[in-house]
Amino acid sequence: MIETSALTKRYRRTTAVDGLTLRVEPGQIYGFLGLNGAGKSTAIRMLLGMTRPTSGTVRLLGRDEPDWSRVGYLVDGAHAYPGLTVRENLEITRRLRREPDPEAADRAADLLGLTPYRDRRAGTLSLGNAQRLGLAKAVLHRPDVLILDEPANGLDPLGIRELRGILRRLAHREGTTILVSSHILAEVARTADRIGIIDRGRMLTEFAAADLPRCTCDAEDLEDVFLRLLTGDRPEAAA
Amino acid sequence: MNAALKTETAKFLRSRAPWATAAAFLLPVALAAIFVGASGTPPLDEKSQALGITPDWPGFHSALMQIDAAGGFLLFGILVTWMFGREYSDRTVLDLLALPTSRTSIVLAKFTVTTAWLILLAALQTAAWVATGIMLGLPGTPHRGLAELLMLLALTGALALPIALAASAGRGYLPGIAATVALLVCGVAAAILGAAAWFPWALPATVGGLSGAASRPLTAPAIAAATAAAGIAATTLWWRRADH
Repeated sequence: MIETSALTKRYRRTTAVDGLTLRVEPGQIYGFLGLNGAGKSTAIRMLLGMTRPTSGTVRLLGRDEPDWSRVGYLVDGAHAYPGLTVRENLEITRRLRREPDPEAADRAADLLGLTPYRDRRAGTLSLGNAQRLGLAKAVLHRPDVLILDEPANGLDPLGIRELRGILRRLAHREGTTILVSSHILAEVARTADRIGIIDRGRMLTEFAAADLPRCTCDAEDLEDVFLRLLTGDRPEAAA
Repeated sequence: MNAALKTETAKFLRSRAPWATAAAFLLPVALAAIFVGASGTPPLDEKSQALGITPDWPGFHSALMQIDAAGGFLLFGILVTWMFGREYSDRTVLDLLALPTSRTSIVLAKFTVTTAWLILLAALQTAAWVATGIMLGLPGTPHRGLAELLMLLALTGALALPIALAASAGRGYLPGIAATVALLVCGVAAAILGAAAWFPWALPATVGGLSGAASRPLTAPAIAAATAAAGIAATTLWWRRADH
């Protein structure tokens, strides 16, 4: 479970996240949306303990200080040690995450379609395969909580479909709690169980993805809802 | 700590850093040998002898000490910068922050690998110095200069460790390199001005003889050790408490 309560982060005169309260239930996929600069990345970094909140609380897996071996994440793009092979990068992640299963690295490579590239240096991978490596590192240890910032970046349509299948399987079969931030709204609409939209650090609205047709009135899809909500007072931007 | 140490060792050994730094650390020996060779040949003989470089073991020792007093710190500083700054340049640092392996373990593992390699580089350079002197057929024996050379390299290595804080807080290579150069320049200036007592980074220039006759303050090892410990503590604290 992921919970935040009145989570706030201020940098001098700027408030990046302003009283954010959200809750992601076990086995749920939560689509976390917002325009650039809305505060998504800062919020995610606070969830992961990378940035200290100015006020408010974060609880992962029911604890203020979670067992990080049960948490997986992909933040700020997929990056790896360029001089090491795919397998070596995964092996480093396995060690640091204290995953005891020696097969975990190969299993993760297989899950993300990286087996043919296992012995390639990470620095020579295409953008899509580098992203697959980042995702493999995030899920390698079968986490109970998975936090992904723009996981579909650089993936081709097949990769996006595979990612959707992986996330659904992890959440709905294995009970993994997943928070996904993405700008690919159609994909979020297809993948997420619940969606939250933030603007200027504040939660603007939250709704179940299944309620999307009902809650949107005459809106056509999630993109329409998103843009109407966020540019409502700026009609020229929507146009 | 064990997982972090294995990881940092693997990352280091699979990079180009070991070969690059080993080659760079042999360069001062080669330069010192060239100076010693030139010291008996006009018109360089007068200049070399003015620097205390003579075609014998003490001269070879003096040449290497002077080169190491500046160049050694530069090379050690670059290595420390690379160990910490690469995580920011490769943007892999976020992968190290929310793990069951603590940030303290990761930072200490980086310092352990760095220190181990600094010791090996010092040993490599010392061995190369002895071997080159023997090959050159220098008169006398090298044993009197060995302890001084090892002490200089130990001091220089210890004083380079706090540069990790600049590479971490500055989030990349450039601040680490800038700190290395700034400390080197200020250290030489402080040594020339006789201010080594209050500026630890003046010790390599003082011990190496860059500021005149070489001297070995008795407190030098303690000052260098305390500076290194403070740098390690500050870097660890920064990794634990800073917003990333």
